[in-house]
Amino acid sequence: MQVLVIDDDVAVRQTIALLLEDAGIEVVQAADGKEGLRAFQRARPDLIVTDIIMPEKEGIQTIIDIRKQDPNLPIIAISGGGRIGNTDFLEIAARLGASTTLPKPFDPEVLVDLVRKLAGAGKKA
Amino acid sequence: MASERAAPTQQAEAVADTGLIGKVRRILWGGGKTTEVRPVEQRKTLAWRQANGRDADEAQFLGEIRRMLERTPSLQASRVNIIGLKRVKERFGDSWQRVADRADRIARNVIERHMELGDIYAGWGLDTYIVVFARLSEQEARVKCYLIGNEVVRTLLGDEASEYLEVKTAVTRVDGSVDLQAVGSMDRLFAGAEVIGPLAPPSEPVPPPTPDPVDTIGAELGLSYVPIERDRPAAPVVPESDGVRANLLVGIDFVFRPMWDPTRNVIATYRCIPQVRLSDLDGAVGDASLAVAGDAEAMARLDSAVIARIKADLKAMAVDGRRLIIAMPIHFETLCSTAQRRRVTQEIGAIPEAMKQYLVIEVVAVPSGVLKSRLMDVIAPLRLHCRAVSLQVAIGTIDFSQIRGTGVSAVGADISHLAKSEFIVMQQLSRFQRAAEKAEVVTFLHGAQSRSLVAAAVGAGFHYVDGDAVAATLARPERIVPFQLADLYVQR
Repeated sequence: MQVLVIDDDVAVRQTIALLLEDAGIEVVQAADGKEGLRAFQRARPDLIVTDIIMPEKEGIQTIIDIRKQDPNLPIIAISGGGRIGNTDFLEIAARLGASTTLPKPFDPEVLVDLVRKLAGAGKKA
Repeated sequence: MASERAAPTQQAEAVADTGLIGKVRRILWGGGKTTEVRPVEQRKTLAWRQANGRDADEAQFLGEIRRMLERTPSLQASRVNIIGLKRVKERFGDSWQRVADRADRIARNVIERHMELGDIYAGWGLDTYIVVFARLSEQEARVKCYLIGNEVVRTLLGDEASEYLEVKTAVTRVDGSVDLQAVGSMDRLFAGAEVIGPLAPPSEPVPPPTPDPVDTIGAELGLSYVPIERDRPAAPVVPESDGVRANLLVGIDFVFRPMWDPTRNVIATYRCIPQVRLSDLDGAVGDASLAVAGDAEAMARLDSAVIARIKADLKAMAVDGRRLIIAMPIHFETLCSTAQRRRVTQEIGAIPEAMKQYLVIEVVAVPSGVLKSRLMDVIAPLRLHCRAVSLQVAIGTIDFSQIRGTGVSAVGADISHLAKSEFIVMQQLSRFQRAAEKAEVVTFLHGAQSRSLVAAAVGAGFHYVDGDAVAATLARPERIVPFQLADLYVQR
């Protein structure tokens, strides 16, 4: 199983990558939506974990673009912080193509379980 | 529709398969030899030739496009669009040498911002750009090219400069030669275009789905909402007073930028942007014209023109029942002179009392390191005549501790001309917002050109955000429009 992790925060991205690799999952990383789309084209991962607020191409547009090319790929949108509440971003992400959403901070086990469940199912939750 | 969509996809695959990006780069920057292009009789083509005559560069350019098409048989000429800035170059005249590199950077930034996966572009000299969209229909690609070109030209020359834009599509003649055909006017282009992605044409805001939320929002803001008829004639524009047309200013136009309030999900504030045309074109670059109006006297005259225009708009609002907030820019430097400050205050004071509650005065070009005492001098006289006073500062230069207690309600920045990576800008926005929160002032962001910057600003907590990624500028302040986060992603 291969997961593409897209997040501009290198610490968060590396942490998620380590978490998934410890669970025996291969990880490809990208630092923003543009890079993420290129990585998606190249690697054709089984699942994508993407942050929302990122430079160059943010997460919701990234999800929309990926959905045009693969309607069934499981995508987990993650986001956190923000004074008006990034729940709004996650709601929109879910409406526009994310399979599921996970507000930051999240329990590492929850993420790993979600990845296994969604990648296993291979379709939108 | 499905078959229409299939063709671009095949084109995209063909582009990818043949490694066209590399080829384009090699062809265009590899110093290819000049190709003889045979004359073409058709009248409709090539405004460049009509204007300037075909020179060796142009012949070489067309020859290279022909070779590119020959090497990539699956790529149809009609999918190759060209954005030309030759007329912009002519408009700049001798000044072009000084601004060419900057103009090229601006053009490339704008083009790259609108590129999607598989799209390619290449520059030819510093005034011509070849663009191939992988997944758009020919019509959609032309529209998108026109809008990209328009954005480039507007950034360079101001909002009324579309006439200097040239967008062309490659055409192959029966004799195998390649020529360029000017695309039609904006109106003709949009007839038949269905999807143009994030580059929405300048248009009226999306009408509210129901009046109820508008009434609610209006009441919340203390604005009574009266629906306006779509075909109501525009508010009268105040003729510029004789004094306004100083030697330095050969003309002033006005546009209004809708400002989104993401916490209330509404657009109820319209920011006035004067567009200055200078006799010397240096610096006449849209929003930035405010900061380069020339000397202090020219700035003051520009400010007077702005006040006159806003006064007319507020009067029009009183007549037709629109209830909006208008943000009016005034230069800090103008307000620093006691005499000028008194004059400005008198001019603003002449706005009808009942309409002052709809006016926000935005003091622009505030210098870094400005002291609280100076701010208080400048702000205090204005507070009597408006709903609020805000400061537009260069991001990262303001000491928020100097703002508390000065009567300033909001502080913001214009990032439309920041030549920094989005990553850096986003970090600056976060720091700016955190500092503003400590100072307990409202924040606004002008000139967010991409959805990622809008998302970053909203996520950071900015109270008002505007820019092309939110809504295009309008000829006049329109009305209250519900606008939610999801509307950013609606294909307009």
